[in-house]
Amino acid sequence: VFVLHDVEGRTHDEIAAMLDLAPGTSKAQLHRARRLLREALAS
Amino acid sequence: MTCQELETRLDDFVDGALPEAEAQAVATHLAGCAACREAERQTRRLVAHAAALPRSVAPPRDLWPGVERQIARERGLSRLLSVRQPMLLAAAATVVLALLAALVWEGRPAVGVQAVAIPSPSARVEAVTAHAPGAADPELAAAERDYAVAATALLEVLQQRRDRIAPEDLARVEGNLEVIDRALAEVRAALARDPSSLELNRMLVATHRKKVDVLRRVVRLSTAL
Repeated sequence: VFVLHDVEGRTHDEIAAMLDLAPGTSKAQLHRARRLLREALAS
Repeated sequence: MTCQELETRLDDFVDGALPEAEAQAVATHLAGCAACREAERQTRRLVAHAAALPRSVAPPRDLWPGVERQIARERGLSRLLSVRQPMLLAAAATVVLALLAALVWEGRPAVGVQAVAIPSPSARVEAVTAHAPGAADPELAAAERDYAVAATALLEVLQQRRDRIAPEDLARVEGNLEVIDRALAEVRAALARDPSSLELNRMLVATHRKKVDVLRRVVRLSTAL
């Protein structure tokens, strides 16, 4: 989800359709991915 | 707005996806909270980095020649194996005939059989030649045979000049040859497991070359003495 949204610039609706998810799930996963990456990059 | 509430809205805020009123509330919280400002800064930086990444990475082209070589090699090998099949059968038949002949001759005195046994200059050389036909690659087998012939010739010369070489030098040379022969056996065993490995093929030839080099040097040295 992080790559699709932040690298490839797709919207949550597009990602949800591609991965057969609810758009809210895509948002939640992006949130989690960004938090983990932020923490990994900060350390 | 609490820090936790901000955390759940931060992504949408950074992506510009928050309704105006909520975005205003987030901005107000950020203005008064250094920790959340830091989280916002890190998120913006991460998103900027990710957006700057290439969307796809083309593999380096120089992988192809290696792949192509390997394919050609394996094709050649399988063609060779299919051609070799009848030859293998013929070889097996020859062995069976030889065994039968030996059984028939067993009753006779063993005079003729003794004459057949060709004395080899060294057990070491026998070990080299004995394995050569088993190599998967005919070129490699030919190279192994050539090296074995060269090594045999050099060993013969060395045997003739044994007395001219100092015993400690001779011991060192023989020690070196043993190490090389062990290495040869190991490479050959590895090659039997992975016959198409170019690296192992190269290693085998290099080891043979080393052996011949050592022998050549010793022979030259003994000639100079």
